[in-house]
Amino acid sequence: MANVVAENLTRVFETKSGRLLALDSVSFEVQTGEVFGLLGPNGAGKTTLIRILTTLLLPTYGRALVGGFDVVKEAKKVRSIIGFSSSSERVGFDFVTARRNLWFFSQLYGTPTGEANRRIEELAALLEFQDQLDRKLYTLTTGYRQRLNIARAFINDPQVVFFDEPTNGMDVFSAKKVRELFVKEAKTNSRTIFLATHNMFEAEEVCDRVAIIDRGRILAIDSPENLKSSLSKPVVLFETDIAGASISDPTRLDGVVGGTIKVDNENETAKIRVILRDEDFLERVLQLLEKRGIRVFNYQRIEPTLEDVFISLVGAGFAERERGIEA
Amino acid sequence: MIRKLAASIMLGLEREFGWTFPPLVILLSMIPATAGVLTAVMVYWVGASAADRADPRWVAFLIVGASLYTHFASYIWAPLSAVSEGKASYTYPLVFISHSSLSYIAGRVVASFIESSFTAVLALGAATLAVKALLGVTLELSFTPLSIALFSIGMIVGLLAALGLGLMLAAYAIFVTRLEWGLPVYISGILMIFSEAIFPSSALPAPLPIIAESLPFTHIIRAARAALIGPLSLYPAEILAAALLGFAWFLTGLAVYTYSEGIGRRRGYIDYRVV
Ligand SMILES: Nc1ncnc2c1ncn2[C@@H]1O[C@H](COP(=O)(O)OP(=O)(O)O)[C@@H](O)[C@H]1O
Ligand SMILES: [Mg+2]
Repeated sequence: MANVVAENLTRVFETKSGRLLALDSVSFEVQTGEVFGLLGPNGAGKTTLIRILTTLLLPTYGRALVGGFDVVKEAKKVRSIIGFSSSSERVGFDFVTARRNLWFFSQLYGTPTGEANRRIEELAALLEFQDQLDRKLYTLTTGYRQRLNIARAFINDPQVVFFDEPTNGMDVFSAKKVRELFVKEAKTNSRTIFLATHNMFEAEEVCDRVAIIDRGRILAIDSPENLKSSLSKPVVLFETDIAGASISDPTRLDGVVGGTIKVDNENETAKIRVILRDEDFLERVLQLLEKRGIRVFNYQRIEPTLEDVFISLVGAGFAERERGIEA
Repeated sequence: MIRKLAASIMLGLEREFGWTFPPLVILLSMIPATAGVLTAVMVYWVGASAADRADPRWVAFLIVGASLYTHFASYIWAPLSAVSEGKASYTYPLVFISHSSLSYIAGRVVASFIESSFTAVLALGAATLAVKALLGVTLELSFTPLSIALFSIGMIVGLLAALGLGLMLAAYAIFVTRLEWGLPVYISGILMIFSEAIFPSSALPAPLPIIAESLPFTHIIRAARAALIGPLSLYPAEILAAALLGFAWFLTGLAVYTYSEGIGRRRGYIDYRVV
């Protein structure tokens, strides 16, 4: 069953500098039991989409259904079947315990006390913070606070659970626990997990399907495997000396569809990662680099990642996009 | 609905009392309340004595009015703080999407009302004793089971009016990203002048007494005076006026709040962070 449906969903913000199209006619469907990822750089429109689906924000045009209910006309019904957790660090009532925070939200959903207590214990066990339950929220470390914040999203036994950058700034151990929980909740409890992230690794690791989003538009939707194998173009990594840093935009190189560059000032090296139009351009790029006085220590064809898929679609990487570089 | 409200009252009580031992909270908040009441009394007494017109009945008038005023002025802020703190801690958007914002605000008002009622009643008692000790004046306040019951009914009627005003302030809090901290001072000032807390509204130049008459708080304070000072025959009309106006305020607050939630959702203010 399609648990989340978006049809031409559009959101315009009126800003001081004019109209901003944060979501541009977005359409997709997400099934029950699916972990669905929304992958895109900062500013792509992920949060805007989640805000609309969680009834915090109205769309400007288009329609969205969650659990079969319209987010505009049947907001109350949508609210009763969703859970939501946003990435911010300081979520929750500081002046009461972790347990009280979870209990309070369970009561807002009308959960009977016994059932609520059972769920609190169960979620705390799954995310391993039982020993933190009776501490005041403000005394919890960031990692525990974040886990509590994730647990809270499941407190009402929701059909669809939305997470906005759930593991942002989270320690590695907590993030691992959280990702395991997502998969378990989707597969064993048949929930839909809808996850916005700009973390490629996370998207590959947990998502059944990923929508790649940029500037309010969904560019591709498929499983991570299919997205990567659809990229028939070769991805090549050049390791160069520091002179490589002079290539501010690899897409200017002949035959390069898109690319990113990481400069390591400490070791005076640079890593230029490019997607080539086809194999034949490898020689051409090597010549171009040499001509510019850049020494190539090593180059190799590498397995594409989701970022390469993004780059091939957009022409720029996440970091470039976030700095506002045009394709 | 009941479950949501009860949970919100409990959370609100923990917010009011949770930071230390509850009786200590009451005791501490009683200090400024009593001091406020006594200040009003002293200003009157010194001035009136100089003119050789000091009258203990006015002292009783002041003590009842000022304690109730302090009571309202302290708990009408609960909704505003629930929303503005709730935006900073992201709890308000979470309450909103659990479809519970109204129950939550009502619960926080009730919790704050409970705390403030204890404080106001104790401040009233403390001020009465202090006046006796300092000025040697025995006030003709009647503390009988009936008068106390009638006084309490007045406070409960006030709850509805305060919820109405509180909802309007919460509506305001949805829109602002930076809270105007002067606002409590302005609103409390208006209440103090127009609610007959420390002087009769007839002292106001026309047409200002109309404002006083349309405030439910004015009638609650009058009803409380009728109960504690007399004449009791004034009580029914004042409490009825208070109840009707309070209900009207509550409906207005509800409408204003619901409307601003709608606008807030359209413009994206519900989860806009207060910095
Ligand atoms: N309330 C708002 N007013 C104006 N512009 C906004 C507002 N909210 C978001 N935006 C803009 O919409 C775009 C998408 O933002 P967002 O959905 O937060 O992206 P993401 O979550 O992918 O980083 C950005 O350009 C952002 O600046
Ligand atoms: Mg975001």
